[in-house]
Amino acid sequence: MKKCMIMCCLMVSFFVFSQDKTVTVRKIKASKAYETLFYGARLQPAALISYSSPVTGVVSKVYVKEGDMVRPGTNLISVVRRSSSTDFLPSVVISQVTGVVGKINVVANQEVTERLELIVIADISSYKTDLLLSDKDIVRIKKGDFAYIIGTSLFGNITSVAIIPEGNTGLFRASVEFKPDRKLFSGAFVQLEIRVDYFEGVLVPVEWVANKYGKTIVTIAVDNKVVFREVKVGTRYGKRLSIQSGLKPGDRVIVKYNKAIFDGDEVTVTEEAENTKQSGFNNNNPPPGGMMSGPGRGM
Amino acid sequence: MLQFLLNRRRVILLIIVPLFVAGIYFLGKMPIKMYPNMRKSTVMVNIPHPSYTAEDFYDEFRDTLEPKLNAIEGVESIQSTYNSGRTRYQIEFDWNIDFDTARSEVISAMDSIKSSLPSESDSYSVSSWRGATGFMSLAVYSNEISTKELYDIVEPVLKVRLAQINDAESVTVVNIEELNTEIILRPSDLLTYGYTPDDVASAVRSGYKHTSIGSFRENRNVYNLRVKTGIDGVYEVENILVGIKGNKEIVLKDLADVKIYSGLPRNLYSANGERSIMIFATPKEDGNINSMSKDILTAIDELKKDLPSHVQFQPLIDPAVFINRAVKNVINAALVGSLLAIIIIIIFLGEWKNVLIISLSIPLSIVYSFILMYIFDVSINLISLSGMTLAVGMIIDSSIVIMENIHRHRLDRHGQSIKDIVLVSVGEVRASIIGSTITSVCVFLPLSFTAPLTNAILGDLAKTVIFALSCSMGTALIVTPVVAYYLFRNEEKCEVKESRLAKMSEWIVSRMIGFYTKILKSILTSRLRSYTVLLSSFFLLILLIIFVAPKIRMEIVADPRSDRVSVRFTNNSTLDKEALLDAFMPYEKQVLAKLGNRVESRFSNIFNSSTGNLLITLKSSKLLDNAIDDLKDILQNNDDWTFDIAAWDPSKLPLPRTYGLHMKVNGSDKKVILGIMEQVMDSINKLDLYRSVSSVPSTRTTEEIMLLPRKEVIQEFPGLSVSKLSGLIKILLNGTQVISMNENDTQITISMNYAEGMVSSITDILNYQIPYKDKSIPLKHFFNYTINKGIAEIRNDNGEETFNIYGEMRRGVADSKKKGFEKMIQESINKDVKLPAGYTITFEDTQKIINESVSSLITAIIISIVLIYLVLGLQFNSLKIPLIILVTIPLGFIGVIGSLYIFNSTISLNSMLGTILLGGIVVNNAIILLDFYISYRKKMDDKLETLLTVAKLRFTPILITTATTLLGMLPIALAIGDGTNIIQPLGISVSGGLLVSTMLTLIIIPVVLNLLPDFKNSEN
Repeated sequence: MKKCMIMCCLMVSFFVFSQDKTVTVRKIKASKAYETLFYGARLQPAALISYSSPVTGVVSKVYVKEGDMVRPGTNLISVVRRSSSTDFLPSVVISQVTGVVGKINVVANQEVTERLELIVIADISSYKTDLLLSDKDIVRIKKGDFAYIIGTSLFGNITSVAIIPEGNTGLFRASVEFKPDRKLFSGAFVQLEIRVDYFEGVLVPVEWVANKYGKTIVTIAVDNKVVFREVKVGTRYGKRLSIQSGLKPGDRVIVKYNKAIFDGDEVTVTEEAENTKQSGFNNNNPPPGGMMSGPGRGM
Repeated sequence: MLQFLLNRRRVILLIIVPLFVAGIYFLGKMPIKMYPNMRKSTVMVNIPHPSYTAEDFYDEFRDTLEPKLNAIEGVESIQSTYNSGRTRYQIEFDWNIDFDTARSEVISAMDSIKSSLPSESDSYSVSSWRGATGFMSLAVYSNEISTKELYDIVEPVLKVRLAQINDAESVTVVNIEELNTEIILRPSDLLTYGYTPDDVASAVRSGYKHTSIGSFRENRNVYNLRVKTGIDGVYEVENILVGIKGNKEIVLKDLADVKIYSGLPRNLYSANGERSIMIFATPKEDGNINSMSKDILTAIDELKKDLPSHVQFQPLIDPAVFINRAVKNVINAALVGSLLAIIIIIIFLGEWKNVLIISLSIPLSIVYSFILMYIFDVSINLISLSGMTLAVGMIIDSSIVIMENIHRHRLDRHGQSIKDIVLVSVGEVRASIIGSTITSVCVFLPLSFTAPLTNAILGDLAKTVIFALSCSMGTALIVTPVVAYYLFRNEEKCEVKESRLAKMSEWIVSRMIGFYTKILKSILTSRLRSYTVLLSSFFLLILLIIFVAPKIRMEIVADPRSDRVSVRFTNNSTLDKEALLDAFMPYEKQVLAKLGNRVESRFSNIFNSSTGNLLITLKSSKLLDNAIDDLKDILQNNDDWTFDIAAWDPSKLPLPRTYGLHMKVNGSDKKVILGIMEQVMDSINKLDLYRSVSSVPSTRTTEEIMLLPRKEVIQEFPGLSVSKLSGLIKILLNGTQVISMNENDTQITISMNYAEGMVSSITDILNYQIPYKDKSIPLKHFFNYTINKGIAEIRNDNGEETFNIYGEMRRGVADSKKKGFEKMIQESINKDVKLPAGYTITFEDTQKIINESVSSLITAIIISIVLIYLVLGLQFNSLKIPLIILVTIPLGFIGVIGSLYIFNSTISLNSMLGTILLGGIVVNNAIILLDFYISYRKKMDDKLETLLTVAKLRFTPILITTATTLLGMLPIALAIGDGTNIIQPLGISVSGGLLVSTMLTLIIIPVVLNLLPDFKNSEN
């Protein structure tokens, strides 16, 4: 008799308590994610063109200074050939390319010999850099992939990927080319994000996956009941986990609850207001640091 | 002998007075504390092992450590908790091992196994389980100078003086304004210039100080030469040169942000809004916290004269205040009790001379008992003072009996000389006084042989009562007659004057006696009525025992009421003090939000990387219970945190913790057991029966990430090695301390770390960029990794691994419900939890400790009854008579159970002790009745008449003594003031028991005597 009463009490309390529980759910949609690989390197100009002295003589005039923009035809440096007998006209070294004056090795009235490097012009019609890729990542990167500069919307193309590693380091050289932009300059140290392994499917925030009784579960609501659905998790993409099996788009995951809920509880379900931040690519954590940076021009 | 005393009365007076003075003197010498000397010591051993997980350390070192610790002499139990990175042993010793011995034994045991521990565990610590709040703190502040200047002025002056305080184990002056410098690295800038954190660290270390070159001598002077390579102070740290790239000097501020701030910036004390330096003092284990506090305050007052006037002192935590207040309350209770008793005497005995003589016995007995207390090493504490208060009502009983008799004889035969009157009166009652005092004393003797827990906690109370009663007997038999002689001897010639007061008291008394005799006569004359009265009382007793007693709540001892709450928090995963403080902040905010304006002030103290204490002072002690309830709702134990919330007690009693629910899971595989525990806890939580449910060890799992270095790759990179990369990862995770040193008595700490939030997953670590040539490569190139799920915590009790689930009852829920709850849980588990074969779940007895104490106390009660029987048998030289007297004891139980239930008190050590005490008291009334009955029976023929006469005669003294004892205990039963509530159950049980038993005694003893056949023998 006493046992009967206790069972009744249990039932009643169960019922009473479960009536009180309300939860908020969110519907799962399929979304995309990718893995990010991070590397860093210094930008170099597309080419460095150096001009040497045509004659042995003395520098008569330096037309430009370091940092100046030059175009094909711009006068750079004029050298006058020394001769005890004849007065020569100065030979002017003219730029053949568009670019920025990188380095001037001489000053006016300096004596120079033929073939001495006078000036270096940096061709900044584009920037390039070489990355050293780990053997762990090399299989996932191929020519044509994009490399995004972290902290900006700029990106470059991977123009070549080595087949043979350098020495025994296990690093493979890959070249990346960037279009010119005001934010870029020679010598800038950029941190690049290469996106690989695109994934489309069910992705849930890490906090939604729990460990209960030794199993991996996600708490969902099926009709009006709480279900601890066992799932198999895949790769982690930043703050989200991909679900290999156990959940499908349309399942409703419980995101908020007012009382502790257990498997099989009856609950009142309300859907969460639509939130446009959900879909789309996720933001993987960029590596520590983030922004592109450099010491300043002229380095 | 009394004749002899009266003849030598002047000399007696000369002895009485100096003894009194001696008593006062010894009172001043006795230490004052909160509680008597508890001797149960607990020592904690904390072993750090950052690179070992719980399981690894357990498997490798458990067999070395635990047996060794177990082998220490006097160890009663060891509780070990293994966590990842840290292991803790809690070693509990037997009752008779004192703290210092325990600690040194543990230290030497650890020294002998030190060599077998890994080197990273060398910094293990051995500490005592000290109550979190056994210390005193003062703030020193000034609104005119900075704290640094303040410290420079105050510290040297204070340090020397305070080191001389006797009772303090340590007094430290803490400058909480020490400067901490934090270097926050900017990873992008580091990469840009191609530096790693250890480059920065070594640059800072070498660039901090000037280089000393040498010295030379010129005549008598010595010149020391230094080259300025360093900086001039912490504020210049950001300009330290790290390296040169191209032709640009790279200094620290190019690579990192430098933040300089005061240490412990989050000190929560803000009563005066000023930053201050703190003085901390911890008392010695046996020291007198009261005198320590007094000494410190005196010292500071003296030193104030030497310090500028704007330097002010403010005591923050002064445990002496609390102790004094509690002590004062108990003393007040004693005074109120005495006053009430005296009023009774005035009502019944009329003459003020009687009142004076009887009242005199109170201070005399108490002061004389101080001498005994001093000899037997009993200190002044709440327990012994409570005993004193209890005894107040009982002390005067003996004097009352004597004076009442003298009074009666004076009224009847005022032709006799006063000397003869005194001799006869005392002679009549002497035997019963001695007998009743001895019985009262006897009841406490068995206490020493019972559970050490009771003896340790309440032993002082028993001793005090014994001393007070013995002294009162001596006072009554020696002092009272002598003083009475002196006071009344001038009356020999004239008649006894009857004052108005005396007339009024006589009128009251005669009415009451008349009423009583009428009732008694009507019961005695009818056999039916006699039997009815007898049987119904016993029936009532049985009813109460069966139905009412289980409903009364059980506990060991109540906590003293205070206005402060102590929250002790422990976190299993924080690695240093700052992290613990940070992690606790959100909880603290919640606490403040919930308690709102009930809080007067708060103070927090972080002891080490895992434990800290928050002390909340409420506006009044009335808010305490609700505040504790609120706190227990907010601060629930979970996987990471354990909270211990209790009323603040300056010297915590080492009471064992009692739970409402305790279950154990047994089986072979740890992981399976943890899964079962999780399911059981969920199942219990569904039922919503308990305030909180927790598990030890926690069911949390950890993920252990193992980084496996690719050695073949690493060695191809000159400048990189496994240790260098590990070091970089360590800095990435936790930062590092670059410099920690003492410079000109100031502590300089420079730490270096990355900004917060850098690492939130394993991929963040694997993507950490390592500079190489002028590029950067992710760390993953150098390591492979595996992730394993591991057990977070392993817990051993006395060498055995245990898996426990604990539940705490909600306030106000009776203990009798426990069994019902357990049944509900069992059924719920049967439904929800699938137990694999070989695994069992058991319910442990949570009442075990209380039950043990209670049962041992019951044994003590039985033994004391037997002793009383023996004493009585000796006194009356009979076997049957003591039995009659013992009848009164069960009658006392009626009152005990009834009053405990009605006043919502508890069955605790206190009330059990009260019952023991009651046993000794209630028999007194019966002894008085019987004694007179026997002697009068010899002279009178009719049994009924004898009974009525004796009853009438003894009614007055019985009533007076009962009333005085009762009223003496009333203040305690009502628990007026903080501190007295500890022994409230005792007061309630004795008062209630005495009241009922006296009423019943006055009826039942005559009834029994009437129903029994006459005694042929009996001679005293």
